Amino acid sequence: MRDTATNETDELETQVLWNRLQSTADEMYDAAERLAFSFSIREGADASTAVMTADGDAIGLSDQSVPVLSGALSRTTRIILEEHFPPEELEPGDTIITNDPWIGGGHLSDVVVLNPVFYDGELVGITGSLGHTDDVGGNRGGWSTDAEQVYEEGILIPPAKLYDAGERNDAIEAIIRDNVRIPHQTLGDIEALRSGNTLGEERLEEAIADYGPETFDHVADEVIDRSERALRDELEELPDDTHDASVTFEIAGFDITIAVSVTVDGSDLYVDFEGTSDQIDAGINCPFGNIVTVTEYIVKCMLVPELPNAEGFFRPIHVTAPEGSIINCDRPKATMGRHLTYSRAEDALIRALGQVVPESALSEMAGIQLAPFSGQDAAGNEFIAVGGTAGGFPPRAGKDGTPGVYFPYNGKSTPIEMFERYSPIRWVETALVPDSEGAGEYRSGPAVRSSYHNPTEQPAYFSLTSGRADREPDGFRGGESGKRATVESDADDKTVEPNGPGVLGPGETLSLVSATPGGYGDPTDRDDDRVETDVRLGYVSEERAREVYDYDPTG
Amino acid sequence: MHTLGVDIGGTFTDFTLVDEGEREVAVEKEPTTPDNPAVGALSGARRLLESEGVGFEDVEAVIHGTTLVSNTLIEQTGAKTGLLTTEGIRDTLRLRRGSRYDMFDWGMTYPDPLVPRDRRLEVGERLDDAGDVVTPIDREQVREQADRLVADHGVDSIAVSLLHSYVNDEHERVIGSVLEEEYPSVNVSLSSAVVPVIREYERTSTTAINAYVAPVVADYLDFLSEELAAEGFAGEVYMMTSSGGVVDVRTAKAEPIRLVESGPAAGVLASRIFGESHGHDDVFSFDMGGTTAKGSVVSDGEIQMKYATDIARVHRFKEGSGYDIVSPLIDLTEIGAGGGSIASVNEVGLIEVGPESAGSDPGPVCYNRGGDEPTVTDASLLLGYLDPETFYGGRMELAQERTERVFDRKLAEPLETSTTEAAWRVFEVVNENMATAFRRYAASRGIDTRGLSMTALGGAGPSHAFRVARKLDIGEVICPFGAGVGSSIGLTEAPRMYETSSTQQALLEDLDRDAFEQQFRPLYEEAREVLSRANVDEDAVEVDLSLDMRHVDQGHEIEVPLPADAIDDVTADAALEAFARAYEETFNREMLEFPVEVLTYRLELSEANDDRAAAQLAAPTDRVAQPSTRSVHFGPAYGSVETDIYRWSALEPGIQLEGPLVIEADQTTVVADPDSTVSVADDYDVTISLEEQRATN
Repeated sequence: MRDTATNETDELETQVLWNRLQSTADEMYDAAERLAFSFSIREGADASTAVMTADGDAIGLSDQSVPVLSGALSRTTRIILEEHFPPEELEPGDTIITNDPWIGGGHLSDVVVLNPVFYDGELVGITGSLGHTDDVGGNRGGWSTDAEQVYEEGILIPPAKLYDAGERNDAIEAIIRDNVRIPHQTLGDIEALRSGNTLGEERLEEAIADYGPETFDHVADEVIDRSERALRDELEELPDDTHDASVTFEIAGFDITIAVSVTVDGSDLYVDFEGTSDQIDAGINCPFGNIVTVTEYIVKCMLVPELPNAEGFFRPIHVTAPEGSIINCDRPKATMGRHLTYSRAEDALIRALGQVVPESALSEMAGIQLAPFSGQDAAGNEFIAVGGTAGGFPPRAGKDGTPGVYFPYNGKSTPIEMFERYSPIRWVETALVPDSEGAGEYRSGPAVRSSYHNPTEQPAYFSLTSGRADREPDGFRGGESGKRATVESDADDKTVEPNGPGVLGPGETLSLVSATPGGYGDPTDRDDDRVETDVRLGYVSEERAREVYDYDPTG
Repeated sequence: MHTLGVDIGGTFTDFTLVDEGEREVAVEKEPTTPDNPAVGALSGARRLLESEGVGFEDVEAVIHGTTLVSNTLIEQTGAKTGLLTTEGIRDTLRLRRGSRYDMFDWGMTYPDPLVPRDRRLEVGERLDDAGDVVTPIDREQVREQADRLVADHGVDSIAVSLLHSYVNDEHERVIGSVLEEEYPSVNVSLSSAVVPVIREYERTSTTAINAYVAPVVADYLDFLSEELAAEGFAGEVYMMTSSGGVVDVRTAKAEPIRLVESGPAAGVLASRIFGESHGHDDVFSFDMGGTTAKGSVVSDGEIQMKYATDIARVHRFKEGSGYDIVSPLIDLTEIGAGGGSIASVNEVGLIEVGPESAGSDPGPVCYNRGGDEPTVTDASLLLGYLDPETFYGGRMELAQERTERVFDRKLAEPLETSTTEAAWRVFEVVNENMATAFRRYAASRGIDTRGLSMTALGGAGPSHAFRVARKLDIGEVICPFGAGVGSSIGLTEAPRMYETSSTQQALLEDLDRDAFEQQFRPLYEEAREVLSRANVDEDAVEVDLSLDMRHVDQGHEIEVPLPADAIDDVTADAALEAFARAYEETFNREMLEFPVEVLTYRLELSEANDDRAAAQLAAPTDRVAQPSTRSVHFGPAYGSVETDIYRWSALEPGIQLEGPLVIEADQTTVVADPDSTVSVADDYDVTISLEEQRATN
């Protein structure tokens, strides 16, 4: 009877405290998002937060996050604890900052901020926030493909104490201030991330005060063990085998292959990217950390989507990639547009894992286009505002794709009214494009076209990255391929490359059209009612309905 | 004179009749009539008035809470609606904000837009962010587009949402006047009137919802008013809003968006009142009806508010999977867990409960109206919590054997367990579902539920509260006499109240007293007009002012309550001080040394609190009787226990009783486990004190 009583209490405590840690991470996220200054964090949700143990193991991860950043914080924290600030050098009131791509989120824009949490003088945990600040100096823009080395991409802050026992290190702040175009924005973002952490700090201290340090440690172990066990149980169910897949693409004149081999071995999963192309002299190289986190993301979605996220979940997954390859690049290769590469690795992974769990597979994804505009407004103030398009979520068995959704990312589009409030550029259109879908029994959503007009007398600058501008995303199980992403200017004789920098002249309008994912299943098997609805809503023309879907309006 | 509260829920409609002179309350309950909820509302009202010997002509006010708006959205039974919007953005409603509300769940889905693409038409006009005209509007083109919507598509209602209309409503008003001229019978909702706030998707979505439900709400209210008048009622009808105030019918018809959480809001109001009468400023409000359960926290006697949510969620009740609205609402969480929630065995052999509900038609198996899916109410019957003879005042005999057969076939046999064990699991799963949702709700707001008192309301609340409270580490549960119709008691106590807001960005340092007054004045006038229609004297109103503020360029605003209680008494200094305080409270840190701006002005006007005591249910006339007993099941920890069964109205005030026990009333049943004591207050409210559980499962 006694034992059962303990178990019951344990169970309840674990559940309650786990919920609380999870909610703390969400609350931290909310604070950081609300206080941030950059479009990407405040409107675009390009951030993540975590509550970690003193060893840097995640025990609470924000639900809302960009997948590539979701598991990144604990890895970053462990690197910092091991190589930069061992626990004995941490004090209450410290805040550590870095945007080193090889330690943090994979490109300079992603700034990591960590706060150690103390209870009774003991280091008991770490709260961390990571967010995409739109201005880190360097080339104009944000995401770009055009640099060869990281030095061109902006300021790199090595792991450093921005706050030392509560005192701000003004030298670090001054260095940041003098290396960016809009200092209040960059510094404001950093303070917003730090606010998330201090809020988390308080919540963690409260939780430990409520439960006592021993129970807290015990529950933290329990959370990690359980998340590990859950994935191991799932992997045990799968037959031991190896599955290969590869994806090729072309960007900035380079032909690139991502090869992956996925091995299920008992309760472990080995993911090896041997055979992947070498790093290149363009800004799409990925530091290894990105590949680890996107692999973890795809595995979770395809195998155990409902489980709450915690460190243990990452343990059965073993990722390797050749050093010096485009997905495990060396310093000082440029990485700003690394999302163009890691999203292809996700395509390859879905193909490989899709052989194990076909019901979770998707047609090839369409990615996103990002278009940060910058320059000076009429009053001479610098601005940065982020536009772009999203190619939507691919179709699956029984379900059409969702247009305009950010995938494999998870951002939010900027409201036109906010964009125009903070930049002189006019966002004139966001529309679904007829006859652009990846046709299939279940089709993708139509492409999204967004257009930007410069009504001022001054030139403005943009820096484009376009996912899937090189070729059409493949269909799946007989579905047709989607469309590639395109860019067009209305200026005479002007060609705009889908990836790279450019100038939006006075009076000029730039139109971006997203790619669309491939279709799922043979389009001639598509339900007539669905085709009829597509025609009525103007997604598919009658002509295309007849040709591609074998649709007979009279029948 | 009398006030009648009518609260239409998914399964039952609750009634409260307050004798304003005696401050005495009588209550009633009636199954909801989903096809036309007004039918059930009228028949219940008639019965209650008759039994109390009160005529409709003696009723001064009917205060009405209804799930009509949310049900119209869930069931997609709104008006055929069109949208007129700025050229280039008609797909905004479909594209939303592009985010995925659950990044791991690839089965994620969004509801279809309320206005399909072929009825979303564009108008060639454009303002810039300052509200200056870039492209003028062309009345002729507006007329053509209106013709297409009305003549070709046959729409009954039109939403109008143009870019930057929150700064300048001129173009929207032009469209409004053309529509008024050409198609006076078509309902029109202008975004600048419904919700003049920045962010076009959220504003358009809110306006589309308003337009979609407006004709339904208008028809319903007209029908109800006419029927009431035919009965001899000559008073006013007031509608409960999501924010816990009441407005007149005309306001409700124009802005039905404000009624989205009309029903749930009343329960929280009632909880505050009951908490207060028991000396508690901090209570957890637990309200469980036939279809959903609602949880909310009252802190320091204040009901918490929020300004945006999404409703009619289509994917496992997940936040983000519904239609987005921006509107003032009581901050509560609602999940698909009620007496009618259906239980089933999933593919891995676990019991799942809800969110599907058997509602009132066919209802649970035990109602014997054709329901053949096991529900939570059925489980309560099989556990011995409900008496088949006396349930619902004996007006509905419960079909015990039939219920056992269904439980055996659908749950006990597949799970290879006993009928009672299957019933207990259903009961526990639904309790755990609610507790999880409530924990998340509390934790995400930094609230610790331990140490709070719980108020249990709704038909199913008092029988589930003892388990839900234990799961939340709450030691005290208050079951107010009349808990079964608690929300409708909240209705009759709700203040007449109206909030309104406008967006006008400005640097705080540029604003002086006059500038503030200039912004607040039109809001005040608008609110005053609404309240005067609701017969509130201008001398007897309270003004609450707040600003949504932030550092310049910061992502989101925080709501900053202002100390001023008059619109001509707001200064930048006081606002800055209030901002600093709110910043510190919200984010646990000092504000930055960086300029501050104001984005949104909010004003709430309410009738002044009259400090009168809450109305009390009339003292029962039943004689104090000895309890009967029956076998009641409390899970593996206790097993089935011979338990005292009391009639609520026969309890002796001041008495202390030991659990286990069951207390029955016509509208609800209180259950207390063996490790609890129960005390009965003078006003017949029952308080369950949950002691540490001696036995365990």
